[in-house]
Amino acid sequence: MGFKTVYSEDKTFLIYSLNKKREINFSQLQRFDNEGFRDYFLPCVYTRTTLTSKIRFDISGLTALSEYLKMNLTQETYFDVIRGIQQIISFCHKKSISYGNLVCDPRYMYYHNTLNKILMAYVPLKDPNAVSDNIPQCLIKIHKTAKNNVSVTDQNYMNKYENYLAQFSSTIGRKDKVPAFSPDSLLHFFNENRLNAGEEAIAAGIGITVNTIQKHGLSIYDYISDSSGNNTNVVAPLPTPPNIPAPLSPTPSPPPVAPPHVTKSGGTVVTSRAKAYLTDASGKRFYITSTPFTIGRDANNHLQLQYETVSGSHAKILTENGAYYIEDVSLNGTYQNDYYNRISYSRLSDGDILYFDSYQYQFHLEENRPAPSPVPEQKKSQTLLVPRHQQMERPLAYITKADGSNIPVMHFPFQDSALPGVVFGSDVSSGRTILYVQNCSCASLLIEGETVPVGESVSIFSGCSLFINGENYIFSVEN
Amino acid sequence: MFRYSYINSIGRKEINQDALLLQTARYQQHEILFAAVCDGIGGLTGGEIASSFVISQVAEWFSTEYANTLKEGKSILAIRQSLDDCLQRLNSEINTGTPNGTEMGTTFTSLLIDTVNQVTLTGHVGDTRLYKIFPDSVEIVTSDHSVIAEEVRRGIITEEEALHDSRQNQITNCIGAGETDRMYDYIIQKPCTECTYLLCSDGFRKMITKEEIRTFLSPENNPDNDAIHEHLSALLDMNLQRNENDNITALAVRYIKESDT
Repeated sequence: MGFKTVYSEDKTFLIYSLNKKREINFSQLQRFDNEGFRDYFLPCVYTRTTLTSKIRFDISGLTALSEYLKMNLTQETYFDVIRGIQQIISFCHKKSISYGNLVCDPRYMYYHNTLNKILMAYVPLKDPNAVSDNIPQCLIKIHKTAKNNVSVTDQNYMNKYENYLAQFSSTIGRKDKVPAFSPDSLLHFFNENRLNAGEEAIAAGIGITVNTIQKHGLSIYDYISDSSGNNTNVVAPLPTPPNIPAPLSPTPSPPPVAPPHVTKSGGTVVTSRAKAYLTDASGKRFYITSTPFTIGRDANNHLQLQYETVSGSHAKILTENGAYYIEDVSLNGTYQNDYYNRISYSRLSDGDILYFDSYQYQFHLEENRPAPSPVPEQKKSQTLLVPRHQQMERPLAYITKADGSNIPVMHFPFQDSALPGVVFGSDVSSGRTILYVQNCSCASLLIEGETVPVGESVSIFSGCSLFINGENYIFSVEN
Repeated sequence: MFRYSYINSIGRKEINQDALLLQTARYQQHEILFAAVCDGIGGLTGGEIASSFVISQVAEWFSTEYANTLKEGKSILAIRQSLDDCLQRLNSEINTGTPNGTEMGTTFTSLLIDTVNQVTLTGHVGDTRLYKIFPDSVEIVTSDHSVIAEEVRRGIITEEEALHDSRQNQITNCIGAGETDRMYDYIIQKPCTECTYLLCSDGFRKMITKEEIRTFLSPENNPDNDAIHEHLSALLDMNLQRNENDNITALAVRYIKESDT
């Protein structure tokens, strides 16, 4: 393949030497500094002298996949590796770059032990198939290496994967018979099969539940009808099962697939309550409501910095195992705590100063919410003394009056002078938070129309209506 | 009795992650309606799997567990608890049944019109919505679980600013997506014969105003299924003309007392 590993000072590089026939694709090379390429590919540098032309990949601190696979692996870990490869292939497809220039050899594929992900070398050449054109063979090689080291917990899943690979192995060496490799065929495999899925709950959801309803639905109802109004027991879940391209289509032309963790325009993303934020020089806060939290000049960034020396996509804040990391993807650099300390990827701590080029921001991390303290046995009956979040700047819930004004609930237990004799509290049962209201001395307290006598408490839910001393309220939780 | 119709369009996206359900049943001469809308979340095909999974499972809840609560004469609070148990179970199943549990999830808004107990129960999480449309006003029954809505509630931004905020797609709560120990909203009300109920995904309502919704879906203009369908289709066309990129789903219901017909 023309690769060799070189050690230089404290760095390790994988070097690919270009022969005279190979021409570098400079426009592709330039794209590598942005568009998220670093999430999947090894960072690379192209150098040319009068005698040599080389691409140098930085593999410092990484483990060659061929070595990683020799370790004892759980089945989940092994398929995380395979899924990582699938995501890289899909990314190539999405970005319209040939996966024929991906280096598909376990000796030159790498596992990042901190990020727990696969990184691959991509050689940006004008010839789109100069390096490798056989991803299935690579997957087979990986499977042979790892098979005896994987602790199998779901043999059925493993059998299905081996069947998937078998489609390719039977025709290796007979190029005229090699089935076309669809970049989405692996994706199709992962979507169709669930590792350790138990009762395959998710898979069941893909289908229409006509049979289930036929079995149970008519015993009580006189009839149950669908949206057309006919007397039938057909429900109408839309859409129909996902339109995933069939694997190994003779002429594969699957639709572009978004890389994982990338949400297309108009799509919905879930954001957890921000525990971290950046502040600018004026102290203004920018909450990290979701990750990757992107920073850059382009308008689609979470934090837009409209300065010429800031790259369109400049940096990202990521989370791994509950910790926050900053990743630089810019030309002019991201610096941490010291303007001379340029970083490529670094863990963030509360109070860290970050420079995006020369623009300074500070990273803040709210302390983790403490787990609820154990409730003394004698107080369990009162169920009052479990502070859910001791340090919290945002309301945990609201009590909304009939005129639309809100009483914010900043902590539990909660009392308010406008609601005398009523205490709102929280408890935890089987890992779930239970909210309740206790009538300590309120003359009139009703929950959803049911009276709560003095001295008693009842559980409440988000959205429930309260009637307290002649006034209507709605209680709603801010998750 | 009920009058209803729905629209569902993939819009300009490659995958339709919305899903809807509309069921009616008759129990002891009472007609009951259960409807729901989901908007799937996540890359790849995870969103549509999660939304159709939740829809199919709550359909089963309606035909089995809810039916049993009727048979046993349970209160609406017991029915709410039953629906919550169902949704919490689905949340857990999506999280544990997914190779990477954070990849798929769905919003959910449902409307149960229980004419046996003469009550409606709305279940809700995310930014799908339930509206009640009256001849002269529009009421948004649900509260969006979104970053923008939260900031409006906290007084950080105004409702006007929220309309133009770029974070329209960021939600703070859903079923699945790795979220645990989450609470969903439930709203218990009396059935309304003076309004049109509208369940919709965010793709249906971002490009149109409340006033436009009222104009088309006001109850007096929607006496039958055909009229409802025609007016929902008109609003769908309006969304598409205004370059809505998202999947678009809406479902409208009118509850008409049989003595009024």
